[in-house]
Amino acid sequence: MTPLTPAVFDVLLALADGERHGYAIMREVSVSSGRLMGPGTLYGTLKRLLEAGLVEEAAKREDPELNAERRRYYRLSEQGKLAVIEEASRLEALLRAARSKALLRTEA
Amino acid sequence: MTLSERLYGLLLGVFPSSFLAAYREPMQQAFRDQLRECAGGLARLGLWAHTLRDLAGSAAAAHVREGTLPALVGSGFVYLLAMAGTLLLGRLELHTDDDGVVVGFILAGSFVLGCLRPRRAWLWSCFGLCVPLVDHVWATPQRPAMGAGGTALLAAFVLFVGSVGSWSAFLLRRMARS
Repeated sequence: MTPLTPAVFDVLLALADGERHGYAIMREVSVSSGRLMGPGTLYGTLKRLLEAGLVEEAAKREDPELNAERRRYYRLSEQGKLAVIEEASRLEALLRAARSKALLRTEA
Repeated sequence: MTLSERLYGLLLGVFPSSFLAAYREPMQQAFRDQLRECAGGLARLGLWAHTLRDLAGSAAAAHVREGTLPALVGSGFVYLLAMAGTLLLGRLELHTDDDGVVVGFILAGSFVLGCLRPRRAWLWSCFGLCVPLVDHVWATPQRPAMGAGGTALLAAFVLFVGSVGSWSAFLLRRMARS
């Protein structure tokens, strides 16, 4: 499998622990990767992931933490879970290689 | 709805219509959420800087994926050519008493552009705004630019002339189709 783009991996990772709506994905990406993701990039990425069958759309509902607006929620499909696990394993292998070359500190 | 939300809604027009049909509403909702969390003018400025970068990159990518890039580039190219023509005309004619030539050119140019791409009539109506722009771009101490009032008046006038040209083309195309 070809490596996922950073935006695709960020979105899949954000959805790894459950359903989220668009803005919650953007916030999660910002926390986990430190990257700011705008609505254009997010929905462009979600569209591709929906078409590829890696993400599914869940029912619209309100987010009690935000306001009474109904929001579209998204979740990982089985294929999406496999893809994010595979990519995380690939990145882990790369990290191990980087550590073995003393490019990174080894974890205690 | 705040001014920022309105502006963002307008800027979404750069995306392909098929993309907007599905994602306009959630994109506006996400932008609204971002705005809500921005405290202070500086944070809003930062958000806008990031939003403009995001829109430019993601709209171009969406046009490539949806196969609408050639039409977009075509429109952009035609518009750039028209602007260059108007700038040249403004440079040559603006300070003569031959205002009729400029008006005729704006009218004809916006009409032709409106015929070619009627969906962008709103854009073609701005066709003549290069004329007041030229006045400022090529201002010299010997030939100073107009004051703010004069510029606003001229801008309103060329906008009106351009609108007449482009929207009449739009209406004619619509009538021809029906």
